Amino acid sequence: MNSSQLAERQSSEKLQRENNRAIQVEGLTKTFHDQERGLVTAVDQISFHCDYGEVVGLLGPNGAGKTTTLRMLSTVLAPTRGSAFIAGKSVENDPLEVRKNIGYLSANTNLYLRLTPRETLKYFGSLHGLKGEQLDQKIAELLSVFQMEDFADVRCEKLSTGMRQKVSIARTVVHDPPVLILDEPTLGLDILVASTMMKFIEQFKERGKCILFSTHIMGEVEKLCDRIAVIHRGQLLALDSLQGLRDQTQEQYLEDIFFSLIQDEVKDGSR
Amino acid sequence: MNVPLVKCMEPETSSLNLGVYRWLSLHYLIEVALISALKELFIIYMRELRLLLRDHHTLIYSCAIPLFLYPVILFVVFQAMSLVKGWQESEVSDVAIVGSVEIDTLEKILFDEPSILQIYLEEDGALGRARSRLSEGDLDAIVELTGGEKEGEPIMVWLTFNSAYDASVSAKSRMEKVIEKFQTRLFELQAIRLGKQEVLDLALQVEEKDISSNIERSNLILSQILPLLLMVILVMGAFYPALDLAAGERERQTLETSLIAPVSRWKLVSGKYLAVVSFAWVAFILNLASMTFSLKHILVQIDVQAFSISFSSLWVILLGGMFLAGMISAILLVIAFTARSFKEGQSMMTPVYAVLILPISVTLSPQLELSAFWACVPVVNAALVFREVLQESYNWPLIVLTLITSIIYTAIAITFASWFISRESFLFGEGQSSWFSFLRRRAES
Repeated sequence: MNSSQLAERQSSEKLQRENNRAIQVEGLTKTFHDQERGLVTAVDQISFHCDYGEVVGLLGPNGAGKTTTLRMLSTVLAPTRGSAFIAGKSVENDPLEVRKNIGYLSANTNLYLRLTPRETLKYFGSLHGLKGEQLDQKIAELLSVFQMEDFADVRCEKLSTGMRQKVSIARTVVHDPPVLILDEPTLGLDILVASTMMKFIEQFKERGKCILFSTHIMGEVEKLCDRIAVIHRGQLLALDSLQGLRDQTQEQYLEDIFFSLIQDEVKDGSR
Repeated sequence: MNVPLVKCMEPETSSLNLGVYRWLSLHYLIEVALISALKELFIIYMRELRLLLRDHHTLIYSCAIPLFLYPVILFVVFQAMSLVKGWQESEVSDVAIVGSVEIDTLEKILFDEPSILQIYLEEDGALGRARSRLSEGDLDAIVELTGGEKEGEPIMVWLTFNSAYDASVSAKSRMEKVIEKFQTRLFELQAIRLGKQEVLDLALQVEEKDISSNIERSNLILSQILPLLLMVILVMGAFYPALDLAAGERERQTLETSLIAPVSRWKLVSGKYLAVVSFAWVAFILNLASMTFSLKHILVQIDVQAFSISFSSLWVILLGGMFLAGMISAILLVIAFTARSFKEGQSMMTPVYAVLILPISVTLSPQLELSAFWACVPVVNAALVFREVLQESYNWPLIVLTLITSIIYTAIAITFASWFISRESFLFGEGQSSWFSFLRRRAES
């Protein structure tokens, strides 16, 4: 074992000791080979943490690396370098335990259209170890909370976008996970369904859960997030509360803060 | 005295109990883990099966079409054959007869053949004109009788026909039978004329007797074509479900939904694999029933009175079908995962058929027999076992060897499929280093 590997191991052990945090990310990097662009670094040594009862927003333009970061945290992709722990479990070494502790929703996690909402919830609930009356009660509760009773036994292919999104959220929380990872959860939704989603995130936070979500809608971030991570070209430019970012950039509105941070990064890059 | 003994015994007993306890705990843990693993596999399997059963495209392509295709095709083919046969039989052959040697004998024979219209040509130059009419298709055949005018001179029969015309070929076939009878009759007349009745008595008499049973005849026909048909059925039955569960998942963007469930990718692939195998096997049974019914119908029509498969053959077919379905489903699932969309997967259908059907078509050769070597060749081994068993030939060591190798190949294919689709490059199309990607890029450029 060389010195860099030893240092990395020690760093990992240190992170494991800090497992009281909901999400702990250290030097997370993802590179892949693209036929036209060659070696691409989608996420470049990102480090941050999230606590229970906290909502953290990942803010960045398209292609910034938000989705790749969340995919690594949800164990769908393996990190090239660095480490990440969710509820004290390593995404690399203990992916099954990580998946048991998260609810993950993204534009790529579509519903099985030939199943009904009830069957979808039953499938995921069963895989998370719920069974019998406990599972039936949980499904009934979710159908009631998200007002899905009327279409609980209709195949998802016949549901509207808003209805499907409700089913997706219910699917995400069927096992009551301590950590929620949401990738642009309001994308393509009308204002009513988007509002339901915002309320849901607030309620989830009140129950002491951790929510990490990506978006490029400034209003959502201002309204919901305790802290904001600004990500651009795979790098984390800033991570602070809204007030902290205002102080840092001397800008009032989040949009201006965002542009200010990006410009700083562009200037740094051109030097 | 007892105390030391008790003291001595105590640790041993405790150690034994501890060992038993540990063993039981381990056994309990393994049992719980196994049940849990099987339960998860069953949950995934049931979901995949439900998805397949609710896809009407898969149901139509895998079950409904083959189920009704064979009876319909065979019915149409048989009707067409009957029509052609009836048309040919009703058609009268125009045959020109030139020459007068033993013409009375020939006439008597032709009297019993209403399908032959004989035209007698006697005038000079008639043969030349008849030949030009034959080449134009106005005449179907010419029979020319020469020789036989002097004592001991043989009679020559010249049969001229034009193979460019079906009617002429038919006339040739009819006239060959007539000439055979003519020859026999001339031989009889000659023998009688020479007063050699004993020659007739000693003449070789041939009587044909077929000792094979109807089942044997049916099975012989079935054993020749069954392996190839089996492969077609299984590929048709398994390919669409495999495409739907692999390429379809990528296309519908539900693969990531499946991957975030708290189960290993191996279980996920195995669940899909089991669903494909089940679907392929059910489709296979339905197809086999339909095909058997159709073949029975057509074999009866071609004069095999009783067509049936014996019970021993039936279980071999069903079991063998399951093994073949297992191997083919694993191969097809791997292929289906390389497709980025259902449409791309469908375009792979033809090469898949070619690759899988080519090795099995060697079993059509009657010279090829099941041997230790062929028992180790995947797909071909099971096909040869079918053929041998249907012909009531049970070579048990080779059958067992075939079963063992089939299980091994299936296990290898499943393991390979699990490893194959666990790669990120195939899950999300991000890698560009694979052979399949290379082929795809060539095709796209």
